[in-house]
Amino acid sequence: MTRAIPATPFVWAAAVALLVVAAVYPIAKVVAEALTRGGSAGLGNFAVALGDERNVLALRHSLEVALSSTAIATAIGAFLAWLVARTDLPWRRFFRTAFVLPFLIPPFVGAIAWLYILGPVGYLNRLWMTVTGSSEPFFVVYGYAGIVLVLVLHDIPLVYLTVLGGLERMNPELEEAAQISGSGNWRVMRTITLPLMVPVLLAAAVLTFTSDIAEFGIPAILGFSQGYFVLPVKIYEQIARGFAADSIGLAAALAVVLMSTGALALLVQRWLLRGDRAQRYVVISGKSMQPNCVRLGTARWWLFALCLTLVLATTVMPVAAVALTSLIRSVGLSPAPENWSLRHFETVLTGLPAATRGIRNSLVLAVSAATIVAVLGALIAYLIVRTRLRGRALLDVSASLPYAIPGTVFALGVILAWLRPFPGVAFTLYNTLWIILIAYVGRYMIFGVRPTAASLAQVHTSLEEAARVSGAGWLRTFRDIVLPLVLPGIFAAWFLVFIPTLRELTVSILLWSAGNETIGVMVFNLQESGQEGPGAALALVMIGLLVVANYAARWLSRGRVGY
Amino acid sequence: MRLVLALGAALTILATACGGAQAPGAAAPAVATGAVQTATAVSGQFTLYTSVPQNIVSRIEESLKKRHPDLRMTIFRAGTGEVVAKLAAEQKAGAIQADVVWVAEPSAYEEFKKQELLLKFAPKDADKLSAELKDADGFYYAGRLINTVIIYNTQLVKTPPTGWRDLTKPEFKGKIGLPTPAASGAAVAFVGALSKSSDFGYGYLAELKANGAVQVQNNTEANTKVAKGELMVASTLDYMIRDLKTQGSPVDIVWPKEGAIFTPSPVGIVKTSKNVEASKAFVDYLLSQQGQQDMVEVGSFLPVRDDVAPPKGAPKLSEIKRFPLDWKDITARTEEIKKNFADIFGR
Repeated sequence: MTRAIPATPFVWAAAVALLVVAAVYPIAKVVAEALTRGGSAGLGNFAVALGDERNVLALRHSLEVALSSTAIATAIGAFLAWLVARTDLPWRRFFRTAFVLPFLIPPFVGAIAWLYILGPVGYLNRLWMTVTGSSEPFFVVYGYAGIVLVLVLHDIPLVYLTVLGGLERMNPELEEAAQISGSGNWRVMRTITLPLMVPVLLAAAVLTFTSDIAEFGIPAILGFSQGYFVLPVKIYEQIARGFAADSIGLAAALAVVLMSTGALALLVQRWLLRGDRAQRYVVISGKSMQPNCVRLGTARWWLFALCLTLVLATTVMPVAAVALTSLIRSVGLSPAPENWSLRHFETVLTGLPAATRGIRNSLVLAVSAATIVAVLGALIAYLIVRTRLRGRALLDVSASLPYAIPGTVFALGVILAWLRPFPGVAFTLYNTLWIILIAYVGRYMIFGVRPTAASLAQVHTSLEEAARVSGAGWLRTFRDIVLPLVLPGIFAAWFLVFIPTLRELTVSILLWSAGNETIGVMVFNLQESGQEGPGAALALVMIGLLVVANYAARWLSRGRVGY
Repeated sequence: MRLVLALGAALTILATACGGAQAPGAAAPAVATGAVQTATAVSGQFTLYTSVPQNIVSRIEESLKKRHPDLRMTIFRAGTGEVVAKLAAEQKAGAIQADVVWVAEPSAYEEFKKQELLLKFAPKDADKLSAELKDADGFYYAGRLINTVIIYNTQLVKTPPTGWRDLTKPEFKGKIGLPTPAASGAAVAFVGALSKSSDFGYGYLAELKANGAVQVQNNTEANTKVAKGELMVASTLDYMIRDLKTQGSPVDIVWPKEGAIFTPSPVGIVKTSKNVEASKAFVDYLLSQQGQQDMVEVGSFLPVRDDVAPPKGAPKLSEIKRFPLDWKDITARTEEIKKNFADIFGR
């Protein structure tokens, strides 16, 4: 039994207040805005927004791309996890980390890269047309199919990691028993492994679905020329290009609709695992053991080739395509070396103030957000794990909400909350770097809470009690006992915030202003305004920063943080 | 808490440092090629909201640094549609960040005038601009001249189209690009002008759609797609084509025989601006002979003054055949134009 430790109420009150203001208040503002039309409460915004058939079509598009990509990515990601965890696939150690590498390529950069590769005149399509003499491209990455393809490639690591974790925690005795009783590999997988993995697969699928339905960059880049729009893009357009008096209200209504789809997915998951059904899966919480190894036999080498192709397709090819495009002197020239030059790098690093500012702003924002979240998150984690404060479970929910809902929705909430924060006072945070920082802090708060909470949970309170008994004050106890013990958690939290904020687009694209560009915003804007060379060069710089940050984190944490 | 406070303080310092970090650059000698040009000692900063492409507006920033080392400009660059929406949102919030607005075409400014968003002022060289290049009421002045024309890929197109009508020919099927008026101001003017004409009308857009035309985000994207060969032809702006051609991309320009959409691209100052002097100094520079000379060099724009020579390979103002159009009519029909285009090309 943990004994409650009295704390300085002021510190906790401030931490909780900051959490509420940064995380909960903006979401409440979206809901309030959606429910207000022409100054009075009601469902008018929903009626108008959903009365427009284009918005309904966008909702349908959102659902169809998210469902398709979730189904495909879950199947592929789970299969890869099984290959790595349970079979004698060659190079398993290599694949173990290689499958996760696409995490380092921001999704919208992936979309841009695939445009270079599989656009109507993309590198692969041109190769195909040259080789076959066909006048038609092999596959065009625009519209529904293209969006699903790129979403799947970016989802695979998420599913893979989730399922891999599940497989490694699963008790392999049942599989062994089935094998000894004479079942073949595929039969064991079908009748034992797969059924046992249902909760993990469901969790992975729900994670993927909520992330896909919220994705802005990929469909924004690949959907436009076909007129294929999804909800986050419609909301963005309402905010960024709409100038009717009610466009923000309509955007808020669409945002609430978008939020509901994610909530619905969670409810479906709960319902599928309801009551006694959950009992069937308890085996999964077995102790960690040396898992058995399925011999793939003749399939071994072609599965190996398949995995290698996948790594090439998800990591090497996009980066190579971006690099190649960034070298071509002027758009439309052949990618042959005689047309190469470094002028686009010169442009983005010296000749384009908005780009250099974007790099600097993103670094400042990522460092600041990571630091604030790590500190604030540690305080909140302490509150959740160590005190018996009433309603402390709510703190965890509050901290996770901003990340659970789509980024577009959260950004809209931040605009509504900080455009005119104090009624009657002409003060606004809109058009400043601060509003982006506040949004990042709210959105990534949960990454500050969870790792520290996990570290804390492993430390028994007896140490703290001993310190208190020996006469140390609360602050001293916290500094000398708690802090050193949870420092690894805080460190992990810092990088878990630093990396995603450095590559952020969805939130920043709605909050940036003159002088307050981020690197993601600049890559997106350069691409959207057709300036391929500089766009590709800046994207490559961005990937470079992410790779450096990632390996720095890995090195500093001896492999515990980073991919 | 002390930690949080200390952090806050550190961040404030950081943010201030960032705001002030734009070094004024090497003060190159302001060599005046014309007699009129004198580098006035106005200093200060202002914010420009513009739809001028990012690469060109960055070069304008560089030239301004050279001519007026003490003038600092902060840029928000986006398509005309986004600039207008951002201004509207900021006006509603009572905090307009922009001091100077420079988007593609005059119809937006007629709307700004109605909303009393603009400051009435007379730039130094206002009299050097012909009447059609400035607002009679003194709210806005053309800072550059742009023309919507046809771009084609020189490797794919054997016989270039001669005019807008030719784009309905089957040889271009599925390879035609049109920038969307939702984002591009020049596209509002283009669709507005053609839809009004009895020879074309919205039926022309439907014919293009039937010929496989696709919408693109903006003129620059249209050019990129044509240069890469994803499209054969597109409607786009003349200066962009000259710029790309100079850099070696396989594209060329067609001045349509029915006429180009001749567009004075206006610049105006926001009424609520707190940086009026700096803003005026920028507009003075822009309209000066030196400024227009710089615009010709950095953007390949057609100059708004007679005493500045057009870019190499570009026609003189008098040589351009213009498609008939009425800016007030386009202001009145902006929403209709956007909606009809979206109905035809999807949204």
